[in-house]
Order: sequence, then C-alpha cells, then structure tokens
Amino acid sequence: MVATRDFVGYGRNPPKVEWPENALLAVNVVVNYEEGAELCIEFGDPSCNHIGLDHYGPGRPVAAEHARDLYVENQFEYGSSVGLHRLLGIFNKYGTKATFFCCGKALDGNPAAAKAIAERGHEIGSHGYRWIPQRTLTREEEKQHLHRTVDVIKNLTGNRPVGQLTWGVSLNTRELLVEEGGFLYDSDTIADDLPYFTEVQGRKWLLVPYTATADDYRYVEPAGFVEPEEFFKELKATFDQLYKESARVPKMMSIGLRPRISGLPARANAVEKFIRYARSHARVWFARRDEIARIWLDQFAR
Amino acid sequence: MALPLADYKARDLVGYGDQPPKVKWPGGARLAVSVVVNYEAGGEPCVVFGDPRCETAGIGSVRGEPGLRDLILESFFEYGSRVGVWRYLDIFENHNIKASFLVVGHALEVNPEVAKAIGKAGHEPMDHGYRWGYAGSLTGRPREEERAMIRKNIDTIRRLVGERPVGQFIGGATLQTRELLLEEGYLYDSNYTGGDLPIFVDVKGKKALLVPYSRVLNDGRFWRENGFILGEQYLRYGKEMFDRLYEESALTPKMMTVALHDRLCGQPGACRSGRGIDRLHQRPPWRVVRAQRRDRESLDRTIRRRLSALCAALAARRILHLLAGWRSR
Repeated sequence: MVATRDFVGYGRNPPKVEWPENALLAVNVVVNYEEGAELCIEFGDPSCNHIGLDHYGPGRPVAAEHARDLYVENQFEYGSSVGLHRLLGIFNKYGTKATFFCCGKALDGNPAAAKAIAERGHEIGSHGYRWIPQRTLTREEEKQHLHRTVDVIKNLTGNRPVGQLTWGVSLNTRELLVEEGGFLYDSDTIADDLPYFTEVQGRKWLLVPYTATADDYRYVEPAGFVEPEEFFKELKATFDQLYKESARVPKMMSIGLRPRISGLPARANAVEKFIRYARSHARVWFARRDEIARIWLDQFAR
Repeated sequence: MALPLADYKARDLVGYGDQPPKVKWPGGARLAVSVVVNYEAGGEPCVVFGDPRCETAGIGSVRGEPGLRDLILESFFEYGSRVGVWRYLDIFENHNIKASFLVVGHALEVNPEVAKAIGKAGHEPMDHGYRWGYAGSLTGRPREEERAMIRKNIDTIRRLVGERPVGQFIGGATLQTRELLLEEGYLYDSNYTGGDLPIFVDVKGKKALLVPYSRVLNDGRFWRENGFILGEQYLRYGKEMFDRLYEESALTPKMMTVALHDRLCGQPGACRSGRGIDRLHQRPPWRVVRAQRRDRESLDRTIRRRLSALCAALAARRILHLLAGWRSR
C-alpha cells in the first residue's frame, strides 16, 4: 500500500533547516555504482543489458540472442575498473564526501572497491542487488535482494546501509525497506528539492529526493548531453538557482554520477569543474545523504 | 523475473584497480595517442554485392527493404573511399603521423589504390573484417567459419596493403574471436573498451593483449543518439579527454585513441582547416607518440613504424595543431 499522491508538498513555505557550518546550500554528490550488476549472460540472465550505452558504431553490432555481448560488458567494466577510481581521485583531491548507492552484486564482483569507497569516508547505500527495474521483481524476490544487499555492504565495510535509491522503484520497495529495519531514508523520489516525510505503514518515513536533471545518465539518453561542458552547464545552472534561493530558505542540491559515464576522462572534467565552482561559493556544504537525513530527522521528525 | 543470486562468475570488473602499471613509452613520452581510421566503403551490406538487403546506418531512404538498392546510402559510403580517406591521408602526411587503418577487406578490393597508399605511407593496417555491418559480423558464427573469415581478411590485407594485420576491431566480436586471434598470429585484440590501458587477459592458458578502443571519442557517434552534431564538438571532447589523460600521465603513462571513419570526419565540415597553434604550446615540453600496440617488453619492427611525433586527426586539423607541440627529440 503506497501513500496517495501529494501535489501540495511544502507549497510556498518550505521548512528552514539549519545546515552545519553555517551553510545555506547542501550539495550531495551521488555515485550510482551499478557496474557488474547489470543483465549479463555470464550471470545467468537470459540476455545482456542493452540500455544506457554509448553508441559508437553507425551499425551497432547486435549480439545474437543468448550470447555474451562484449561491446556492452566492456562499457560497464570500464566503470568498475577505471571510472570508479578516477571519481574517487577527484573527490579525494577536494575532500568531497559523497554517497555511493551500490548494487549488492556490483560489490560482490569487486570487493576491493567497496573497501576503497568506505575507507575514503563516503557513504554506501543500497542500489538494489541487481541493476534492473525493481518493479520486475516479485515482492519476495525484492525482499531477498534487499536483504542480500544489506549483508554484502555490512560484510565488506563493517557498516550497514541506512539509505537506498533504486532503479524502477516498485510499490513494495518502500515498505520492504521499512520492514527490513535499520534504514533512515530512501531517495526514490524526484518530487522535491528538499527532504520531506511520507507515511509508510502508519509511521513517518523520510525521503531525500534525487535529481531528474543533474544526472549523468543523460549522456546516454535521448536529447541528452553530448559534451562534458553541457553537463557542467546543467550543474552550474542548477547550483546557481538553488544557491540564490537558499538565501531565503536553505536548500539542497543533488547530483547523480556513474563510474562508467562520468568516470571517462573527458566527462570527469565536468565533475571536477563543478566541484571547484561550488567550492568557490561561501556557505556551501558538500554532504553525504545520511548526514542530511540525520539532520532533517533531528530537526523535523516530530 | 526470477533472477539467480548466483555467485559472481568470470568477468573482470577489477582490471588494474587503482594500481595501473607504469609503461615506458618510447622517447620518454608520457601519453601515447593512437589515431584509428575505419575504412569501410565497399564493405557494407549491399544488394549489388549479393547481400539480401542494403545497409541502413547512415543517410538513406530505402531503409533496408529486402532486395532494393539504396543509391543515396551507397553514395554516402562511397564518399569515404572517393574523398574522405584522401583527406585523412593528406593530413597524416602533412603532419608526419602514422595512423592505424581499420580496413575492411572487400573495401580494399574495390579500391586497391587506397590500399596501396595506406601501405606506402607506412600506416598500420588493422583487421576490420572482410565485410562490414551484418555482412561481416562475427557474432554467432561457428568457429571454423569465423576462422575462415579472419583468414580471408588476413590474406586480402596482405595482398593489397603489403603486410598482414596484427590487431583487430570488428563489430560483434566474441570470446571465440579472442581465441582465434591468438591462434591466427595476431599481436593484440582491440575488441575492448573496458579500460584506458592495454591489459593482458588469460585465454585458455595463453596471454592475450587487449589494446583499448575508443567508445566516445569516436566519430561513429555522429548521427547517433546523443552523438556529435558539429565537428567542433568532437574536437572539444578530444581536448577534454586529452587534458585529463595528459595530467594523469604525469603519474602513470597513459594512452588515448582517436577513432575516425572514412565517410564521417572525412566530410569537409568536420575536417576544415583549423585556427593556429593551440594552447598546448604553452604547456611544459611533452611528447606524444603513437600507441605501441604490443606488450611493453619489446618494440618490434611493426611498432617502430607506428611511432610518430604528433597525433590526433580528430575533427579537424585543429586538433593536429593542438597536439603539434612536440618537437624532435
């Protein structure tokens, strides 16, 4: 049972949160670590993933059904083996702490990555076990996947996840999250800029929204970014507007990245350029999502 | 959908991790740039060649209807061999660049003059299949049929260019392809975009060298979803890629690939003369050499020919000016 729709939200008067360090704008960088969790014959799936790809052949070779598709697999492997470290390097350079929503299976396939992410002080949240629309799973399957993802993260890093962002959130996802216990928030919404509460099984549940626009998936979607500078401009425009608004009401900005997309050499420049741009402003706080969630819960959960 | 929570199997998601090896490029260079030109005109599916339907990727109107010729699309491809390829050959000659040409065997057969020119100029012929598109796809072929296709192209290239290919990139390549390349005497396999650097992989107990190809700095992205619209976008993307890899190469020597097609960046708009020397000249001295498509223990005659001072045709001569900061050793 999912809460009915709320078209009203905060209306004209969002609550005024107090961010730490006297900040007015909280900026959260999300890295979706999906590489190694996508559909793949090698994993026993019926076919290979065929979406979210860079297409570079005028005649893109179509793998025979039920065949492995190296063209696709390689794009993901780039992310887990090279792109991830490139992004970690950039964050490290500026002391930026991010939130990594990781697919359980991606971590299973690259345990060293899990450790590297955690060691650098980033948050690890759940991104489902597989990179597939969660609504294609039965309730029982989704529960199993969630439980397994929590275990993987706990075993590899010593800390359990407290947040989740999925692809293709189902009508069961939120309930299962609450039932599983130990989570503080989920990010399966783009209905607001600021965190807000909904109701799950009679209790208040925190949503920390994701972004529809400042997401590097748009490099591989129709009418999306061609050049890294375009992604930077999107980030900058988003930042500028929210920064201006934050003078009246403190705001939050979300950015979505993927190792196989923004981890490419040219596209990584947009990320670094944005971090430098944001940091050049006063009263900007680069935050992990769980930090934001805890603050919101602390100030508004009554 | 029942998805197995099976244990992880044999894909390499780790690669070099955060510890890439430090290769020594020749001449103390820190960044190797490989220019690759896809030469396909005449390799594409066509009713005239006996294929059931014409190619559909590109400007055309017949949309691959069975048995129909598409004169516009045929001429779109012909542009590459009649005009585009000569633009590249001229640019490379003017800037003393040795490139790698991904050649389709049948394309060489219908225009042997280009094959000769490639060989004479000292460029590397790479295997791009005897045919292209669905007519040349290796996917799903029985092992011996695929081997025959590979051998046919080795022979064709050797006959028309003057030497056999030692590297390959073909759409639809599979793990079977990787095995066959080892068996057929190739030095490296470029059916790979999983990393920035060459890497060895185990193929049934033997080591195969993968040399990465370029998935975004690739003019195949013109006329594709979110692909380049203007030549200058290709150029700018290349610059961004170059800048970051150049910076990273201070710690760990790197490699980048500039992928081009005869009929795409060979178009005048993408290939117009650039402005003058780029900001690169203000950089500290650096060098760029062509990628050595080989293991780092040795340089053989084939690799030595591929060394060059400059690189990157990109969308224009501009990028050549961009990378022309190198001066003689």
